[in-house]
Amino acid sequence: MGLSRTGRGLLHGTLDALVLKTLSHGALHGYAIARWIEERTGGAIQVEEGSLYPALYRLEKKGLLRSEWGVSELERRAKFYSLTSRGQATLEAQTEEWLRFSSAVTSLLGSV
Amino acid sequence: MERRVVRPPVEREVDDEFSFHVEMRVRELTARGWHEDDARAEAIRRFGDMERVKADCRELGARRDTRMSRRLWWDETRQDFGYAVRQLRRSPGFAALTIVTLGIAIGANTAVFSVVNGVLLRPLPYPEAERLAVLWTRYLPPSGFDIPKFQLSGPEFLDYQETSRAFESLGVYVNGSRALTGEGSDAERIRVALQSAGVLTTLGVRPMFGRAFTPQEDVPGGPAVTILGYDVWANRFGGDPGIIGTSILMNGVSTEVVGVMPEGFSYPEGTRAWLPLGLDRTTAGGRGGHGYYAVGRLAPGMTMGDVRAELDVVRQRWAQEFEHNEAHFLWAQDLHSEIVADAPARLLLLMSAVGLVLLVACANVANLLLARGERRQGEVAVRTTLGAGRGRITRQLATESFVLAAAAAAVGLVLALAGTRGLIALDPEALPRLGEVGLDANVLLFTTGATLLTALLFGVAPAYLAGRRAAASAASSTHRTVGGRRTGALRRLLVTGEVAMSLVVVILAGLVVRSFSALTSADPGLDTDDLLTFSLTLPPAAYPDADLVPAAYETLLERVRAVPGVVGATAASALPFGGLSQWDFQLDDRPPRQEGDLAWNAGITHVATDYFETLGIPIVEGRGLTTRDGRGEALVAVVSRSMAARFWPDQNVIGKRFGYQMADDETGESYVPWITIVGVVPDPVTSSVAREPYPHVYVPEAQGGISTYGVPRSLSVAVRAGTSVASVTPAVRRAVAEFDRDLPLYQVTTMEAVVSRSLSGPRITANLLGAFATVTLVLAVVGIYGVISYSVAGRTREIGVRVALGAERHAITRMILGEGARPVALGIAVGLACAFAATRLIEAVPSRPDGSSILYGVQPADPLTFSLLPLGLLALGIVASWIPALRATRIAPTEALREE
Repeated sequence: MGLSRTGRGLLHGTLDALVLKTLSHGALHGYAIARWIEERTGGAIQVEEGSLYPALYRLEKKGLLRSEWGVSELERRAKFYSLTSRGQATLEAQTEEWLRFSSAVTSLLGSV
Repeated sequence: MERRVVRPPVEREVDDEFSFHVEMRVRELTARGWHEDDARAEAIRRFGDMERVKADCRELGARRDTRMSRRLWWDETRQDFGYAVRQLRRSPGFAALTIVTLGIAIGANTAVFSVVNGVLLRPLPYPEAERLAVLWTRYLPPSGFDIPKFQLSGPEFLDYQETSRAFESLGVYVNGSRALTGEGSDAERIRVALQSAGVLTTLGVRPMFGRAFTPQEDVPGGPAVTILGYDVWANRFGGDPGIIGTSILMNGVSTEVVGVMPEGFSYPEGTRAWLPLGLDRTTAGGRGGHGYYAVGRLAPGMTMGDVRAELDVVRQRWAQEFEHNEAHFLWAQDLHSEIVADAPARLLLLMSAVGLVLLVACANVANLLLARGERRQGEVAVRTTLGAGRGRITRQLATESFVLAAAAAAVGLVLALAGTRGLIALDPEALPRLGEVGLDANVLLFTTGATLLTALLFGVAPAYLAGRRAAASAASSTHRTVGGRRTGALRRLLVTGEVAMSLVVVILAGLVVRSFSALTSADPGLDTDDLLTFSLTLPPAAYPDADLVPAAYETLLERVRAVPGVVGATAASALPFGGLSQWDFQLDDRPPRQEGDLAWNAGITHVATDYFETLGIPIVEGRGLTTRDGRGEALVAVVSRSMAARFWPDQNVIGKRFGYQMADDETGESYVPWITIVGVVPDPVTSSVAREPYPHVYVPEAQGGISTYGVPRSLSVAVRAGTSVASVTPAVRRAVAEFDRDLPLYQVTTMEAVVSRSLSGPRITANLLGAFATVTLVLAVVGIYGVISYSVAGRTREIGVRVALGAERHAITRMILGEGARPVALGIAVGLACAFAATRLIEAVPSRPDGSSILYGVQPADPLTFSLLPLGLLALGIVASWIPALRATRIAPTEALREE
């Protein structure tokens, strides 16, 4: 069945981490971010736009992302997000934390 | 990343971003075979409540923008700051001159403010100190002969205490001194206060150890108990808390220590131990015996106005109840005003003067910055070309001003700290409460405020003008307009202001210095050279018979006179500048005093032999006092000139008689032992030469009791040294120790030091104002010089042309001098008017009941000060513009023309 396609199904903070991860390879606009997450998780995680955009604005306000308007691959004006150095650092910290957490959960569940 | 596009405002940003997303999703879905309408519906559906999401994003976006613009501002400020520091480093001479100029001005302001803060602004160290007040008696007969301020009599205090509702509690005390002996330490005499149990309650202070006096101890003949001050306890008794309950020797009497006061407590100031007073109706004495100080705490909700109203009622009641009392009444003053005395007037004057110094410094630095701004037009033009707007240029230059001001503030704080410490160390008694002066949050706040204000004052106009020029030069191609008309006018205005303000400071300083020199050159009424003075008390424990005290002093004086190098020695209940005891007397040659007559009152000094001879006081009429005027002989006195003039105008006073009320030992009946006047001397100075002379009488200590007050046991000794005081002091100490080794000398000093200390308030004011005046003068001269030489430099070409066209040298000089003299003369005119107004203000500062005023022996509109100083300033102004003028005449035409 996989995880629900709504952002609500994601653990709190997970969406932020996914966004940061997505942007670690370069600047992307909002639609590309959503698509990238959907594709990478084989559709298991579908990001609802109603959650994604507030998350992007929030991350930008916090100074983890910066945005710039540019022209997209289809010659349309689009807003591109990229990681700031603080965003990069946060991503690394969150990844490490997530790995520790998930391995703990895995070992707990696996030991039953 | 792709080409950049300008960010739209946040409302449109969200719309654009979302519609782009929808388009992309539609494109994706139609590519997967969706119908376009369905695809669009799906794309929008995925946003959920799109309007709510948009609203959320807009709000987050708006907050992001504020954050970003704030961060941008900080970044720019940091940039400006770094740029400013680099620029200033590039011109270290300018930076140093500016920082030192402003540093001195800010430092002086901080120093004076820290004194104002410590003396005037900080509350007294008692809980709810604003509710504390002191009481005084005033004597104001219709004849107009006013004695504005003296202590209460015992009955006056007790009467008032019984009826007062305005005061929650009242305390009463008298000052005294006690010898501490024993305990293996040297004998030491300390100031004590004998006080009612109410004093500590009123002040709201409790002992640190032990307890306050109980009402049972505060009775006549009560137990010998004492509360020690912190420093006596710490220094003499080793800070041992176990001292409570033990006994120490005070004046040879075993006295139990019941308490130790906390550190810093010393009320009245200088007191080091406290004893119970035991004042009640049986010990209060007569209504004429004024010796008691009173302090009270206002009842909750009561004001000084209530106290005054209550005291008015008391005054009327007393006038009815007691004969001859009509002109005696009590008045009250809040404790803070009492303690700071005339300090507010002095400090107000100093604060105003030092404020002007800061303004002059600002004007000078503004001038420097204007000149610098003109030299930097090239740099500014480059930055403008690179896209810096007018606001940005102004802001950058303003940052430079703040950097300068901040550096100056740092210099100023160090100077202020060192300055106030030095000042206090030099003369801790120059002002009341000086011990409480220091850096605190108030002072730092003041310095910060002064610094910001300074930066605004000197930095804003130049920065604004530079910004304007930047805008103008961006518009026109020619940017070389050295000394533009606007800048030139501004600089001349600055010079005018600078000169005006300097003149005010210089005139104020002139008046104060003149009155100080009048004070120092005023006749102290005695020969102050080579006079050693100290005080002694013969305590009742060792000298039980009061009648033998005068003889004991004579024996001691004989020993002192025998010391090699001593040319004379005497003793008296008070030496000149040593304070005043005033007694009411009776007159023999006229009917009893009527209501409204002059007060029959004079200062009195009990003197040992050789008093006038040793102090060098001339006898102007009759004779002095001799060893023949002893016990059992006819009672005699020498009086002062104003005593003679006031009570026997146009008469020969020799042979006239006066006397004090005395009570017969056996019958208790009162009588007056008449004293015959045998000589007249000049009026003594009792505290300061600024005081009006007051009638005074001298009676021989050796003749014993002449009034109910008995014979004083504490005398001040004066020793005249043949060569120097220092050379005889050790031998004199030995002579006293040989007489009685338990007799501590106290207040050991020289008459010169005593006279000098009586002038410490005026001296500190004169010195500081003198220093401020010097600083402003230097700044003003530098300012004038700077403006004129800058203007000459800017006109090199014009002058060169004039010379080439045959202008005479002196014509050029006159032109330049005229240019300098105009703003200076205008400044002097404005300054004269302001200074005149300022002296009016000094006059308007209410003179206190004790009659001290800032100016002495000089008129507020002193013609000499008001003519010489402006002329001097004008001369300085001419000299300051003469040097650049001279330089202008040396300009060779060819050189000048080649310059461009």
